[in-house]
Amino acid sequence: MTLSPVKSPLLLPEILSNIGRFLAKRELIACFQVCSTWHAALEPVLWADLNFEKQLLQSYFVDAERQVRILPDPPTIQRLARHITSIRYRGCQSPISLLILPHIVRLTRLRVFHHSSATLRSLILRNVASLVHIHWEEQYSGLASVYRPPDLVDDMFSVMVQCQHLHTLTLTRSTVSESQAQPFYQLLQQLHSITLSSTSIHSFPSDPIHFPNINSLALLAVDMDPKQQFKLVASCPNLGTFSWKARVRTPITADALTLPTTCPRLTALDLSRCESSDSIMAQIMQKSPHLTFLDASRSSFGTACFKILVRNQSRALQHLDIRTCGDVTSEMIHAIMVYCQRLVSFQASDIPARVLIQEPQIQCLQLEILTLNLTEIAQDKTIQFRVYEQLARLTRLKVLTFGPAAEGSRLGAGAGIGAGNGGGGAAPRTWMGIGMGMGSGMNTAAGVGAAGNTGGGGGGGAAVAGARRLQHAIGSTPLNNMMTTLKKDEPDSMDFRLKYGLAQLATLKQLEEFRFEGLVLCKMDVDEIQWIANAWKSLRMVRGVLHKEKRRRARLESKLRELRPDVRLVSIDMCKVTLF
Amino acid sequence: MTVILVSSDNQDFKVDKEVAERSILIKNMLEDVGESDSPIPLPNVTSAVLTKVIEYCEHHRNDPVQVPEETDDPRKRSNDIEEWDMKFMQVDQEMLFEIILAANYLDIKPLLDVGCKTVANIIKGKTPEEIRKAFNIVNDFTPEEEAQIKKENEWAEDR
Repeated sequence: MTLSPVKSPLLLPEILSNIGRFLAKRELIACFQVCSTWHAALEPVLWADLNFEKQLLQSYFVDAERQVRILPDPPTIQRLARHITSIRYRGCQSPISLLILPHIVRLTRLRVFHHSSATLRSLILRNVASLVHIHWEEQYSGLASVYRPPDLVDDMFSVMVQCQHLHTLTLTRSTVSESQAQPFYQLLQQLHSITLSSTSIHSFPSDPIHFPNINSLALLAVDMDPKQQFKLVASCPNLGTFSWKARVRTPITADALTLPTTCPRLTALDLSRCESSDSIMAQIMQKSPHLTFLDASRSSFGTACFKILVRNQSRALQHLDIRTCGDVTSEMIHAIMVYCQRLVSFQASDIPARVLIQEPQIQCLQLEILTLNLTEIAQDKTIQFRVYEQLARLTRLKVLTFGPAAEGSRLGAGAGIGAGNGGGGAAPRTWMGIGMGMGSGMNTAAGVGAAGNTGGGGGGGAAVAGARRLQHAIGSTPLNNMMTTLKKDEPDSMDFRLKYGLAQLATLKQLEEFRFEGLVLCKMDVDEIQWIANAWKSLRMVRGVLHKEKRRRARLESKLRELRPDVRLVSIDMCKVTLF
Repeated sequence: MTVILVSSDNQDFKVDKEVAERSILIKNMLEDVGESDSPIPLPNVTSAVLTKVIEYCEHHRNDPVQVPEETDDPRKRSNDIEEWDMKFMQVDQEMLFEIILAANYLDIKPLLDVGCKTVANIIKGKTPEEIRKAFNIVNDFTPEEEAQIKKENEWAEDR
């Protein structure tokens, strides 16, 4: 039986290219050889997205396995280049990129990293009719200015402004010089979505100007007078989402208050490390009821902010970071966990585990990342059982940490402001190992009440910054009071034993990381290891010392490796780390 | 509120408006026509296929509207088909093709994607000859052309 050509969807180009979206490169290439219709329909799918850094460097004349690769002849290259609509370009001047770039004429999406050159400039000019997205990321540090050829940078925006369909622009570590200001603001008038991060803008138009098309704006650590930044915001009458991140150590003054007044639809706000006051922050929050993301870490968050938060933001808020805000109390933390039911990530310097068992019951069941401090529950198995019981309700948890949260673990924040809207925080990958553990170490060894608050601030070698933070933390009171009730020689501990209720956590099907490296006394047994290996199928990492005794610890570790070779085990023996 | 859909073989199907509007084609038609209870003819869809399509739309009536995603990786995965959809797609090849064509004609993107994923899964791991066999496709290439295509693309392959 042969299929009549009209009846088979496998001969319709639009359906074939839709099928092609679900195929890997290797499979696509196999499909090319099926018949001429398939070849014609699927070739554009393969070539639409070209990752220069990967493909073209690999396809150098001799590849890694010393296999000579045959390059297509020029007419073929020209034909293939016409399919390319998206490229990622890291400025590699391989022979093949020089061959291909001049023939790309239908580009809609361009991502450039650490590179700008005349080649690229002409690439943009050749694609002014099709370009829709440009993502431009410059190199870190001053090196960029040394290697940056001036030709493109000097008229970068004049070139971009010629792209009539361009609506999304991302600039990282870029500079808008005074001479480029005019084309830059002209460009802004046509854009729908713009993200500027760590970018310097040297001038602001003197005449009133409007950006009616801008729907989404992110100004992340932009080097520009905050007043002018907010003026820019005020010039976007149709702004739907707005993210703002202060530059490091920017004092927030009353000027900042104009921000939410002009932008009632603010959804993400990052005021971390701003030298601000509780009342200023509270006023900003008061005027932005739609916040889903708020980072106030190392800034000010106190009673005034808390009241506004519960009243205004509790329905929408998904990400909250209030680490190292000295005025945060355990009562506030409890209330936040009761009222902010949509929280996906919640970070505070110290979330006492006993908050979980207070009345009323916590309701933030969407949480994916949680760090608990075990203050005052070490000796009490009944409380531990009840903590497990409550934790078992948080079925979305991906990262669960026992032990004091280290203030230095800012890297662990699940979601950056940019990712704030997308699917919740990814699991932290880059926590400072030693810094984390030190929190509890200090608690134990030094017995300084405030130490638990600052955690491993000194971790990762940032000794000076750590000392300053420590000072800051000692200056604050409420948590200190709570911490001093802790017996000086009582180490943080939690019994990860099935008989004390660990098995209740079988509901945490999505758990990817289990961390307890801050704990000094940990006793597990083979049963528990077996249980963990079976119950938490999504688990990818365990961080912590499985047992305080060296020999048993080694046995448990090998057991875990045997049962779950896919789980990474990281353990740092705290006893061996000298504190200060 | 219900609407009446008429298949190519003149059978009437009475469905909830909400269900019918999973089809962007029908949704647009209803918007153009306004309030009206006149039946909607679908001359390209047989009753057997329409039954299947309606079954799909009924099951997915409350799904959120798909937003075109903007990911860095344009290659989509074909192994993330829901269990229900997987069972739904366990039909013979002729029906699979009919469903894809109907989804394309009626503009039901999620159904089209499930159909295309199903086809993609059949393609996976097969040689060109096996693919032709699986779908009854005639090879219209000369051996030279076939070798040329292979050569053109092999350097782009990940190794």
